[in-house]
Amino acid sequence: MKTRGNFSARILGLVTFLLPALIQAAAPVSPPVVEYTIETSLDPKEKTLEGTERLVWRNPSGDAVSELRFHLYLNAFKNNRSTFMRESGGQLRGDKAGTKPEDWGWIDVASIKTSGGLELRPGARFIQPDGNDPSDETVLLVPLATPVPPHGEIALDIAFHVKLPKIFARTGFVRDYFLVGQWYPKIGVYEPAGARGRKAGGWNCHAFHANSEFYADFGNFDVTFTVPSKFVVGATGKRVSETPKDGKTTYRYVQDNVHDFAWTADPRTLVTEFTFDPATDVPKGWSAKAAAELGMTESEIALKPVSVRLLLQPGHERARERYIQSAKVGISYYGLWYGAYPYETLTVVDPPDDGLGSGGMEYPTFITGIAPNLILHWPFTGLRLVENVTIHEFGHEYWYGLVGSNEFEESWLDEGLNTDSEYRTMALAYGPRDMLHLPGGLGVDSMAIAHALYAALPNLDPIHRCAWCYADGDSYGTNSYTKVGLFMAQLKNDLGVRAFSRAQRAYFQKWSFRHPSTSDFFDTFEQSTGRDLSTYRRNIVDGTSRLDWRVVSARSREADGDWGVFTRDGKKTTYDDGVVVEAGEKKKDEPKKDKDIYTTVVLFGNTGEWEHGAKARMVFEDGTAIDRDLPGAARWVRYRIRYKSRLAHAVVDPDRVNVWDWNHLNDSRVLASGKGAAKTLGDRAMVKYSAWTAYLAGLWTQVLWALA
Amino acid sequence: MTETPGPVAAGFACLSHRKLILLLALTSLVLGLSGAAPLMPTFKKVLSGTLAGDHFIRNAPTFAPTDFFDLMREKGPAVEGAMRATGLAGVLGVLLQMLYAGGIVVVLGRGPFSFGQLFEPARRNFWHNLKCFFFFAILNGVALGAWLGGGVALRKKFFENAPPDAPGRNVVFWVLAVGAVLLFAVISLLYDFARAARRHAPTIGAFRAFRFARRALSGSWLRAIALWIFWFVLGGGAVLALFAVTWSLPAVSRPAIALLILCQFGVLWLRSAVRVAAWGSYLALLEPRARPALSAIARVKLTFDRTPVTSA
Repeated sequence: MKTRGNFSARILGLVTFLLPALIQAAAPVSPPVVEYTIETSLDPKEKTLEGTERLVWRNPSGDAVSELRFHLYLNAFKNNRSTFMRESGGQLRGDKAGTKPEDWGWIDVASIKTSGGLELRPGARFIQPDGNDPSDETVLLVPLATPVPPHGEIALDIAFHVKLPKIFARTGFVRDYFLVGQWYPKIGVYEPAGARGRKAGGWNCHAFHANSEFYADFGNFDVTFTVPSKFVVGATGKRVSETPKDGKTTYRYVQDNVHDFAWTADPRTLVTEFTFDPATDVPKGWSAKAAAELGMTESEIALKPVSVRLLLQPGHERARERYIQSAKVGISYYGLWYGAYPYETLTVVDPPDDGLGSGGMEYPTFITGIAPNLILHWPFTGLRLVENVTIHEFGHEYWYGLVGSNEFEESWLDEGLNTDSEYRTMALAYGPRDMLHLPGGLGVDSMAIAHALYAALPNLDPIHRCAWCYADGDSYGTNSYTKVGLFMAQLKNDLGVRAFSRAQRAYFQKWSFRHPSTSDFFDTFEQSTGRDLSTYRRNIVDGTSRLDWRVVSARSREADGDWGVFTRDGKKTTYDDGVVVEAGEKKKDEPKKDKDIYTTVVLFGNTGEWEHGAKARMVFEDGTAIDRDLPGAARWVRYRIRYKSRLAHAVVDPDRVNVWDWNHLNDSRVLASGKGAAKTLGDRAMVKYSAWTAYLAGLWTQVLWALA
Repeated sequence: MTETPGPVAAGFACLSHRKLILLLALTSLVLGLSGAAPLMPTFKKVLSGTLAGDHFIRNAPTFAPTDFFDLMREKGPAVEGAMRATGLAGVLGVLLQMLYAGGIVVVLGRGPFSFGQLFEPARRNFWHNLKCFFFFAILNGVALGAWLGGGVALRKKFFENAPPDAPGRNVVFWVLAVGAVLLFAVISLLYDFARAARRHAPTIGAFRAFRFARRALSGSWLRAIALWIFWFVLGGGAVLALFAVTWSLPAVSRPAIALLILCQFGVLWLRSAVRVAAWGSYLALLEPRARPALSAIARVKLTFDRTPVTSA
């Protein structure tokens, strides 16, 4: 690993490394870019919403902005010609879009008026900024009669009508359960020159793609919605009023400094409310561990209470405690390591089994979990899906909710960083078999699953791509989620846990309520650690380089005695396998070579594209272990060792520090002639697992006896 | 006066046929080894030749599951080969069971017998059993297909707008599941009794054997189904319990691995023993009903005097 030569950068790195506490959380932009005041009412029979929206948009740039762009996400579900439906084929995240007439969903914008009363709707038109789907209506361009001046503002009054789709891809209805997300005309992000590497200011407002999520400016939301009084509701932010009238109830929720608003309504929901209390709910030892890693005091990383509202489906009562515990775990880990959760509330929605398409989703202060009834019962109780999804979705409050990266263009910055955080939270909370634990001590951890997915991928795409540019959905998923988890684990192992944790906290603190890019991520990490991380960016994030150190060959045999003519003490002497003989004389006795000396030759090689070092270990039968560092620039390294014992085994990267390694199966070689402990257990393993395989195959034939 | 043991007692009494049980268990073992054979060289190379075996047997966190996934990917052809070989071993196992059943129905419950006495009727009844199997398969396909397919379609229609936890959904699910098991039990009993028909009528055809089975079971269905459920539950429970023991054995040391292998063979033996006992029970149930059933399905033989009528 090279260190950066730039002296000032090193000094800066040293300062930020030693004094992480100096990095303060970025304050929200004030006044915010957007302010939404929305009023809407739900017709549960027709599955429609009628709404009005008062939007104040402040031009964050020095440009005069002559047009506005709006996301109308629900139009993705209007027909099969939308970009979303064309890309997804009507199937996404294990869910299938409905095709009955009542299953489609859309949003109509009836009116857009300026505060001066000028109607802009007639001049508005749908545009397709990302491609050639002329039927796509997910982005609306609204020309302005008068441009918004630099750093000026505009207020608009918008009237809209929504038909919710049958639940598919996060939003919609099933029976009388409603998950209302991406439901209102939502203005895009106008990025000033310099933001996220832009050379000139402009709109960043992409069509709704199958493999992408969202991007919006931070702002304040004041939302009022009316539903029949029998419905239980939950929403982003804090409930400030509840007004029943004529069998309906109007709820008002407000939340500042967020970039989206979602809500839910369901008459059957069971409500559980509790407060996360840092004094009692932070797992034992976590605060001290975080403080030690971050070089801060426990009081500096102290958390705040959070009011949590769990909306549980009937029949999912077994998941209640699991939701509660995993929410507490998430609030604790992310809060301690990155910064205290800044909002007062968190709503956790448990979707019904026939509405799982709305599960596993995040909105500011509002997340949806997954707890299908089947997995709440034996034999699936060892699968920690409820915990995993809850922690992951809560994690998005940080990586997307607070650090507002562009999910369209750099999905790895939110999904990936969050997956990494989720892995570490799961490991810390649930131990080495965090994802699945089976009777008999067996199980699987998140990192093993991540490696399996990474290694199974055809490796067509780098991590860093726009979300809809990947070869397919699998490539998007693995590159945006699991590969980043591995990359971050590799980075943590290489930098050391303290430097890594401090850099990650610095990144979070610096970019909260902002829109960072990939460059901003690396800049922050390089500044914090004082290390040149360009090899990671070039090879792993922007490239598709693999790493695959392996033991190419290993042999160990008795060292030969001297053989031939040697000039020693000025006199020529002939040796035959270590025995001095006269010329023409045959060897009489057994050779007298030293039988306790063996020659061992081990060849290590890296057949991956990424040049990255590794540790090599050679263990001999007498228990002696020799460790060597294999330099990153080397394609191969050969060791020739004369030693009194045979080689038992050779292994590269014995501690699995290189989690980016493509194939761990070739990391070691146990010599057939060895008698070391590893060899002994390997033979036993061969017998044991051969027996298991035959046993299971035999049992399978016996199961079929039901037919015979 | 000799007291005739009941079917369950007769089933347990058949456990004395140790060699027969051993034959079935060894057959399963050999078939199991055949299924696993394509993986053996891979295990030799990977488990013994690298540290993966060490990680597996020590159940090393992260290392073991990672190595497992890498093994599945890197040695995919060997894994696939083992799965296909296991599939073929399963088919062979079914055929062998049909063969054995042909002998079992003849010799079981009639005192000691030699393998020669077992295999002679086994060979003779094999084609009969094969034909019975086709009836069995067709009956299952039609009956279970109609029951489950119709049931699921009705459930979907009536509960489309019902919440997932609606009590009706669960009731219908369990009715469908229990009904399917009972249907399978009925068809299985018919199948077994049709094969057992050869015990009393060595030349009976498959179609008539099913008629025989229906006659023999007529009036005794509840008892027969209870017997089927008894062996299904008892045998399944015992096998699962012993399987759980094998699953929970860490088996790192040599004696522990030896014990594990012994227990594994014990599971194969136990399933074989239950199989023999169940046959013994069914045959004991059939014994007093066989003759009336045979009589009921006997063809009426008419003889005609074909001598030309001549006038006196």
